[in-house]
Amino acid sequence: MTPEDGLTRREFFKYLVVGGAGAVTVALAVPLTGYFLSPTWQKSKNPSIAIAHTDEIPVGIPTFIRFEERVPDGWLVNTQSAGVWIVTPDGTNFTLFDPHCTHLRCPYYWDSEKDLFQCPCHGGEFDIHGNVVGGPPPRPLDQWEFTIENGEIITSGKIIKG
Amino acid sequence: MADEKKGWLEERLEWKKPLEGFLYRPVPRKVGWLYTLGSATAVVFVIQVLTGLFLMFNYSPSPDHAYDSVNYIMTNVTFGALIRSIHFYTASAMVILILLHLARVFFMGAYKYPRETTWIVGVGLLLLVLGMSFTGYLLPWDQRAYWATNVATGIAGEVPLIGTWVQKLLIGGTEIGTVTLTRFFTFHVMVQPLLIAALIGAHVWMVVKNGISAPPGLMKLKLTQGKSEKQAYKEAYDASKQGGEKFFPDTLSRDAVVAVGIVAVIFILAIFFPHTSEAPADPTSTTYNPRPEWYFLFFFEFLKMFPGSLEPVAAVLVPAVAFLVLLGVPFLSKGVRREWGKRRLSLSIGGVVVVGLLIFEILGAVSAPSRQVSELTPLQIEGQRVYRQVNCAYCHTINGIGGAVGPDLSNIASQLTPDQIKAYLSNPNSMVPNTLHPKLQFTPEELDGLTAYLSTLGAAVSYTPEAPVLFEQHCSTCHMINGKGGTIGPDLSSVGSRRSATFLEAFISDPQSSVPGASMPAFHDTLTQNQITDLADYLYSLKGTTTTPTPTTTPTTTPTTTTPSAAAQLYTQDCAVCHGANRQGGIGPALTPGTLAGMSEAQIASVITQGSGPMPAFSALSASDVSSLVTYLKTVQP
Repeated sequence: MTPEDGLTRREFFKYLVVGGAGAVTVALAVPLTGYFLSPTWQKSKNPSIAIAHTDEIPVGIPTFIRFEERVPDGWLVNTQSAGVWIVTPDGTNFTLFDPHCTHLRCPYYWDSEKDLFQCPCHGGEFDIHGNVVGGPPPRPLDQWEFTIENGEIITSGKIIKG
Repeated sequence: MADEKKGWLEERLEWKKPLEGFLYRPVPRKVGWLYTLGSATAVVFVIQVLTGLFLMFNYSPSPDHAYDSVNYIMTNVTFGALIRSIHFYTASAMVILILLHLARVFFMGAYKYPRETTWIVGVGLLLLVLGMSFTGYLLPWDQRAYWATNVATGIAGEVPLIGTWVQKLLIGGTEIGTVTLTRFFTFHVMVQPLLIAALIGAHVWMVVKNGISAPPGLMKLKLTQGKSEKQAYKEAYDASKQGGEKFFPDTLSRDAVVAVGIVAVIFILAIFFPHTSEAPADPTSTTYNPRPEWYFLFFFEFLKMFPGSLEPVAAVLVPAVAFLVLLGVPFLSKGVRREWGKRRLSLSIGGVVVVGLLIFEILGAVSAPSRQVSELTPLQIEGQRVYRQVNCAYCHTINGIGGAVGPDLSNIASQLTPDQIKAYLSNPNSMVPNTLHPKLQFTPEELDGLTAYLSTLGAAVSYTPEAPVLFEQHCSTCHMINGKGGTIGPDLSSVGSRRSATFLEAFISDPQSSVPGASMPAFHDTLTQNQITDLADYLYSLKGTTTTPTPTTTPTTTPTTTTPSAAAQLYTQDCAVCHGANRQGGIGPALTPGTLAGMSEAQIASVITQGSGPMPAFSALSASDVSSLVTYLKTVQP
């Protein structure tokens, strides 16, 4: 067989070496890459817990509720403190606001004199409905998904972006 | 542009010439497939480094977290189970390949001039690879890992004079624990791999420097007047490369085929037979059967030949001498000549050693205790872990252990269904308003595990009406239930208080798999799997009629007035099948006043109530029955 007819023996062996090395590399690279990138597509699995009773939330006054939650953290389950602002205009409809400013995630507070949520970091201001009324925040306050069962406000902390 | 790029690098690094020298060097003729073993070993080492590195992203080397972090890799990380299994199987592949490579080099005499140093470095690599198997084995921190390390470090402690010191150095203290794990981890991921990489580098450099050895058939030395053997060797070696192939791509193509084949086998094993952990390490276990990994079975068998005071000889002296001899092979097997006919003694000794090792390996495989049949499923084990972690025992009792604030949970599964248990754990108030039971926030996985575990406690089992019939047809010749049946095997009237349904099922199917040496025949060919499960459930339901399970504490009462006839009956009923009708031993040891002289009554009672090794726990016996039996065994001659 001449080179003009097709593969020489040497060329065939070259392809065998390169192909073999390539096959082993790909066979390993696929699972190793998937393994390494795994955290980017893992969904957080915070359990839903009851954090407050509807009776505890005064009408028209934003109330900060602190609670402890057990959160999976890798192979551990950690108990950590968390908090959320709960607002109700009528005792029937509720909104849970994530306690971090949508500008740069500073914790904000309720200013009862101004009747506004006030961020101490850069002067961001939100009304009782979570809408931006002053300062640099780019969007309204984020909210948490929740349900109410037998008067208990139950949430997993899953965020709905404002 | 490409030429400029090459020129730019070449100008600065001059990389082409050394690389081409390496790749296109001539190789002797007839270098065949056996010569791929060395590169195959290097390829699997690279696989181990890569998979091990990625496993490190999610592994925590502390006794509190090691098991859970491995479980996390197996269940929560994409391809985690695959990577872990590849790492496990590749470890075995590495041992196999390095031994085959060593054998090939030995039998072809390739350790002789000028490759003596290559051999010495290779033996060093063998030692390091076996060391990797040893240090890596502990890391999953399951029962297998803990107990195998316990035995192996115990052997290290047998070294005369310095044994205790060596053992402390290995363990990092007096007990296997936190310091041991971090120590083994550091050795396994840093010290040993770096040493192996360095020695591989030296080994490959030496192979390139001296050339790949020619097969012995091509190395017939032409010795003439005035020519030394070394000169004759050089001439013969140069001649062997005439008309030979180039390393790349000819020789390397075979390496590539073998590498692909090995990787394919490893992937098939890892995908279809993923490696899983056993139960979490339990240093207090009295029933676990440590079994060495397959590549140490020959040593396990060899140790049995040297009982008692001779054990250090087998455990330390012989292996040390063996490694020194291995290291010294190039100097013990002198001369340059490699022709088959000139090495009859070396080849014979090598053959005897290989055959001997194989025989010991097979004997070890046949006689080693089988892997423990777990009494609980992985989910139930997880639940047991949650029970411990949340400290439920502060308020609740299970089998006599725990507090009395809340109800006894020993038989909770006979009172509540799994759904009820789960609902209660999720929200106690929903089932029992104003209960004192705290509302604990379990994750879904913890809830499932705890429910599964609690559902094993006193669970009512269901069996079909066929089960008692099956017992009568296949079992009653040897076994008795409630006074009806044979006495060849143990009385099974209360077997359900000692063994789980899982264990009974495995035992009925193949007794040897659970208790090597058991005289009961296997029923996996006689009965269908459904019949075996049914029979196991029926036997599990037999908890005994008059006695309740005693707490796992040794009786402290002084021996009561012995009632030999009652104690003798008890012995015949429950013990004779393993310890002999005349107490002279059988599957279990002899139980005479003489053989039991070294054990206190409390120790014997503990073995009876808690079991030991393959012996089951007889926790259903009352304290007075145990006491009578102990006194009978210690004082009455057979």
